[in-house]
Amino acid sequence: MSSFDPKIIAFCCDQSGYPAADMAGTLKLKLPRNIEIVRVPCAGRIETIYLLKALEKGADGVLVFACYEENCQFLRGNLRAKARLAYAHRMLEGIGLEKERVEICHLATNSGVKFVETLRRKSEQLKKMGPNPAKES
Amino acid sequence: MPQIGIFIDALQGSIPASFREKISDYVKKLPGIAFCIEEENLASSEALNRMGKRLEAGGLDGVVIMGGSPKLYEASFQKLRHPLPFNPYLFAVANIREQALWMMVEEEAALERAKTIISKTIRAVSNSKPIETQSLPLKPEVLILGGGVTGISIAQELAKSGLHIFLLEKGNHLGGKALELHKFYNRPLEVQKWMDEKISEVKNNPQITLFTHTELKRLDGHLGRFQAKIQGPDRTETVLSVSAIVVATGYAAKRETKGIYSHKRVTVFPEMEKLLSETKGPSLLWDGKKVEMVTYFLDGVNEDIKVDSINAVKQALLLQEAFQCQVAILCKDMKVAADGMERLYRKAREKGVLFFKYEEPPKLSIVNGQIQVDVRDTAAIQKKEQWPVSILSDLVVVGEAFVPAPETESLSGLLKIHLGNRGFLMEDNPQLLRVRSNRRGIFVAGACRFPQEVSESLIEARAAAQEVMALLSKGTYIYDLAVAEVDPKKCAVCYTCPRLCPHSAITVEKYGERNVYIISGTSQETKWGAAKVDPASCYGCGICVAECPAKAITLRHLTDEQIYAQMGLME
Repeated sequence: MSSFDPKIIAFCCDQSGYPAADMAGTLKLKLPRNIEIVRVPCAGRIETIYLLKALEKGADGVLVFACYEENCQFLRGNLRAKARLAYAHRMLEGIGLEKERVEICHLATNSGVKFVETLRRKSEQLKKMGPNPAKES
Repeated sequence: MPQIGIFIDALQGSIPASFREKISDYVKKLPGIAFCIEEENLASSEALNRMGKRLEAGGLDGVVIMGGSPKLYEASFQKLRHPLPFNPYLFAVANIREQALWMMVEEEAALERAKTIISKTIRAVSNSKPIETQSLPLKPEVLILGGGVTGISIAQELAKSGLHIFLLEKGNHLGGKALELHKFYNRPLEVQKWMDEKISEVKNNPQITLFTHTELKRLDGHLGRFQAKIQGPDRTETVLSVSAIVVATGYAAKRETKGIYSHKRVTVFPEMEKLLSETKGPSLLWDGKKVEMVTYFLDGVNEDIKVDSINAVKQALLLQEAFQCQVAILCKDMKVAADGMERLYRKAREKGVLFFKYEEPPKLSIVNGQIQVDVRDTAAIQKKEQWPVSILSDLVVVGEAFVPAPETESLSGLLKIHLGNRGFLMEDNPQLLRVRSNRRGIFVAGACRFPQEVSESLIEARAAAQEVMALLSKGTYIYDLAVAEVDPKKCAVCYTCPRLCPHSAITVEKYGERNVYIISGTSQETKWGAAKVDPASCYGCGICVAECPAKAITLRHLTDEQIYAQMGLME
């Protein structure tokens, strides 16, 4: 089990999440190995199906990096993302998966440290949880 | 097999040569790679010229840049529109510096990471389609709502630049709240004379069409094609077609009338201003008696302390100098954050105006027909011992509560622009886009956003005029079709997207050929209603795309396939 390296898909909104990821790189903060960064114009672009497809197709966890609430450039994009996440959580519970595998994190452009810390924490958490049983082999 | 061109950017040496070599070895082995060129600094103009020449040769389906953050390159390629002979949406950036080289502990891991990023990016770019640019003609016509000082100033500025302006005023005269003013705090001019000149200039300007007693009833269309239905004094309706709209409807003031505030010796700022302008003699009379002691009580009724602070200090100086009154100003916090206010405040102290800072609100009571104001001054040296002070005043001046103008709410519904927390109109971004509304082509300026002083409104008026000019001066609006697009055949007209669109760019129109939810042959009409995204108004955020229950909307520059490719899930 020690060799298990959880795969995380990180959706980053173009206004906060992605610049924060860049900032983390610039600060040379080290990330866990197995992370895919997906750039979207706004967290509101992320559909529920993406979150579920990610888990189905091999990810162990999904993180959404969005702007702070009431701080979205598109006003309610981050709230829509949160609502879709809640919907995904209900579905995950329905099929007996841990809902902690999908999580939203609000941050700002300059939160490079928070970006990395969240990913590290998630990675540790997923290591304890074990591989996602729902993924296609 | 799509042919992809690769540029590896060394970013002035921040990606080491050994790493670049390994990357280029890996890339050259991939199928469908037309060429792989290394550049020392891709953002330099020489490199861009070389790149342009290489792209002109043609035969490419996409270009991948390997280097730093895509934000770096977007700034130089898309926003500055460097004339590269290649569609900007066929470029993709593999961020191997920030996301691989700098984020991984060992070089081995970084290389693995970089390879994954590269193959993901190549997949994404193979799925990209070129996105064309469109242009929208803009007529030089602007509608301004509100004939206050802001509206007038914007109209004057824009008329100078050769635009035609329709100026709408709901009342019967121009000027708005500025007519209540007598003197500026920072200029020696008489406000009324200055306003009269401005108003007569607006009235005589052939570039400005003035409508008084007129209100906006309905607004259709988007940027460049707004159709505004206005209702005149005798219920006559006119439709104006304009390219842009500026909202400058101002604020309203509500006077507190309960309890002691209804006493005849309690007054408000506009009345005081009027009294000061009308009195010529050496002493000030109120209710037939000479006024010797005036107390200003700020912060009690009105929380917008800025405008009241300015007016209180300005009036206090006048009272002390011209009418030999003693003035006391009571406030929780004095706000002198306006140009020249600090100087004016110091001058007021030097002239003998008394300032008291309180924490508990002062008590007002009637003593022998005068008003006694009891206040505990916290500006004393001993903070614990607040000094009780009683001021027997001939006149107490209090603020009025500043509230949004009564029509603000219905106007925000008509124009589909957002309201802020207190019911004032909301700008798009309080720090960066202060006079733009959330809709492209509609601007908000002046006291409809928050109560403000005339000098502040004049600055906003200039800013709004500049924004309108920047939009209309070219005569066309050029935009990329990188927007959301509705498939009218799939649209069920559920009204989810028009409600969610943060920029009100979606309307339901009759333009679709056929809608699967309507049985064909049941209606005579040939066009069906479906949601329509106005491409010139869309900001491309993708909220509607993700929310559409019928999946009828696609984002042209970020399709599902491209997202799955980025997730690494594409086969």
